Amino acid sequence: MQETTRHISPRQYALLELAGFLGIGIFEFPRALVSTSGNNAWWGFLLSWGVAYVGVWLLLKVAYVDPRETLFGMARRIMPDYVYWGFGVVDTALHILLPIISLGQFGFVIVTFFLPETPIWMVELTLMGIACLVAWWELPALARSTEMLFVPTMMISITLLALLVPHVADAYAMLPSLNVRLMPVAYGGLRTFYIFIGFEVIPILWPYIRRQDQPQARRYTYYAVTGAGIFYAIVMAVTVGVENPWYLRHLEWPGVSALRLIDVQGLIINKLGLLIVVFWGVVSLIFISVRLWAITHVILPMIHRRTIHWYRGMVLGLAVLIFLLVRTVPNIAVIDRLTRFMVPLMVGFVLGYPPLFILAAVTIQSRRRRRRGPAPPARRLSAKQRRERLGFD
Amino acid sequence: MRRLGALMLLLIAVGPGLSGCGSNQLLTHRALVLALGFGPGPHKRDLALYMQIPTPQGLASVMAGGAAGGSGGGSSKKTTVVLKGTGATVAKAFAQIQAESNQDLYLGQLQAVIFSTQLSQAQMEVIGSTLTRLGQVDKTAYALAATAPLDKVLHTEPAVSPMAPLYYATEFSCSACQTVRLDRRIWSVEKRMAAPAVDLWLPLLKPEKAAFQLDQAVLYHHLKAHTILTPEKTELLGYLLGRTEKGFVDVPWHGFPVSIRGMASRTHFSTQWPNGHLHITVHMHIMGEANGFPINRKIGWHVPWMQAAVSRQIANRELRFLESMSRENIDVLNLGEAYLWQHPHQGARWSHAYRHAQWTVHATTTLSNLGEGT
Repeated sequence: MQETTRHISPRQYALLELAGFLGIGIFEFPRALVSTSGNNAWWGFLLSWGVAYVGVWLLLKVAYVDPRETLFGMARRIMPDYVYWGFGVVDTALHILLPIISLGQFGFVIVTFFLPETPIWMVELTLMGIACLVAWWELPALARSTEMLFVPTMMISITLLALLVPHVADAYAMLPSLNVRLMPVAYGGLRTFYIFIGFEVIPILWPYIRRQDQPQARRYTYYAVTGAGIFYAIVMAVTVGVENPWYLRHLEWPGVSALRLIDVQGLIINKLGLLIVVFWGVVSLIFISVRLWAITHVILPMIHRRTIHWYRGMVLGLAVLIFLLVRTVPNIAVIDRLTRFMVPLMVGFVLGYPPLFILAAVTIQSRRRRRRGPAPPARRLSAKQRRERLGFD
Repeated sequence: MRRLGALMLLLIAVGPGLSGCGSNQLLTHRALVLALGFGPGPHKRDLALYMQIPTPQGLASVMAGGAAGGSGGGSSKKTTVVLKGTGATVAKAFAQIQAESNQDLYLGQLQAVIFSTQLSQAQMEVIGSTLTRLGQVDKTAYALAATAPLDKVLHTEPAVSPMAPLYYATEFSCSACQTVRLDRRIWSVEKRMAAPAVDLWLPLLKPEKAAFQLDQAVLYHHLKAHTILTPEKTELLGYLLGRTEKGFVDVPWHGFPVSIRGMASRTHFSTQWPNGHLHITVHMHIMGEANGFPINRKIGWHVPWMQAAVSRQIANRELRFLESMSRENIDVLNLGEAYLWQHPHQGARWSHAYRHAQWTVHATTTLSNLGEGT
């Protein structure tokens, strides 16, 4: 029987990544992209997807600076204190925006389509409470919950998207334009990059993967980007083909609106597509839980606290803070503006810091090596040391 | 202690989720609006909104599978009630109806939305925008147009249906029940309202004493009802949209009317711009069954002639129909939408080119079933 540890398997890690990719985009995509890129939407999407691969590659490089240490453990060693603190504060602030957007999106979807008279805070509080609970027992419990909830939700979602294919009436819009215009493609790619935001958690998650599993996890990271990209490509093809690009721009949640058209006669719940949207709460839930966990793992090293009580206190405190911040959002237009504001900052941060981080790490390592002189000849490790290095602790 | 704390947290977190819907209401407090009607109001800028709501007797008749005697003239008890509100906006008219009802008006079970053909373009825009934004409206409701006063339409109770608004679902969910499938969902109407250079068509609902007649389409131009097609022209439109399921045609043969029935078509459009002029080619493949033919003749010998005659006749009629539509600048075939998606900002060019388009129709026919008596 597999031992219970604080580690997660590569598959669980990949699912956490994937849930991260879908956390914000699943409701809103592809409205912003089609509005900005027009008939160049496919090229904007491909650009965004390509940049996501580059971002993942960079963040894996960061994780490999010291595969046994979390991002902020590494950062403390290679950065001066004030840079370290600045890095931590910016990272925390940006990451608090993500669950606000995700929670806000879900709350407004539920109140718009399902429970118009239910106070939105009840929806948000429930989701936040469960997200807090899922994160309560640290990463392994969070990862297992993800496996249990996320996989069935996505399988049903893809099945239902297939049921939409007969509704495709505007197939012309599914074809990419051959008249490629650079600016709309670039702008659309940037505007829609929120669909891939979530992978910046890689260097924080990395030490929780067993050393011997890390090469596999590395491959799985790319599989997660590929899986997310394919899912979004299906969503885009189906929603654009069903709703046509002009109508789609008017819809705040094009995917949800498309799924509402599914009407399976003969079933007790004939509006199956609408039902699955409630299950998409799982995606928001996992996304928020991972953010709670990750932000806590940024803050705790900064304040030199590592016990589980501090962890739980921090998770609870963040959950309350995020819930209160979401309560200040009056309508979906504010969430929309917040996303528009957050994406360029996030892209700049996620693609900007890894090269500097890696450069600083390499410089410091080589300086230390010079100071220490030539490396001593490799010595044979004891069995205990080997076990420790492999991560069986 | 720790376990107790965790349990408490679990209860607090899950508690609100177990409480059910905060807005849950008893069915008796909820009026299930089954049909919405939009017509012109008493003043020029006003809208009239009609809501058809089932009565308790009506609901009981549906539960009993229509055993309550149907909604036809024989039954003294009404199965539905129609409420009316007026105002410059849908919201104002809605509020008026709410004032007339002691129940919450619920649009999640909507079966049909009926538009009067007298509505102006501006009014149609107001309605379209409202319907798009109302999250609770069931987008799979059927959209129809009516020339008759909506009061009359909504008070018509078809004898074959346990309740009038359920008639539409029965009618439209059966593709073999109509010559042309004229079902239009409300979301596809909203979709066409948003798209440029595309016009709308809606099935025309004609009330009769205890039935509805549904074999005509209304063409809209810029969201204003423009032309009411005859049943024959509706059939031609159906071939172009792939919606005619049971078309029929006669071709004279030595004074004998040879008839073909069960006709359907697969149609493909292609556009070319030779010398800057728009040329639209329509390829139709028609399938049908031979129906009427002199019994003392061998039909097998004459099939190629019959196929050619049907193709020729349909192609000629379609050509005249398409030319008349394009001269009026009515595009219900989404050709402009597909063009403008690839060539944005060319709306004026398309509009001019479409009006002067040169059409070519190629039709081929396959008679798949010759019946008995060859």
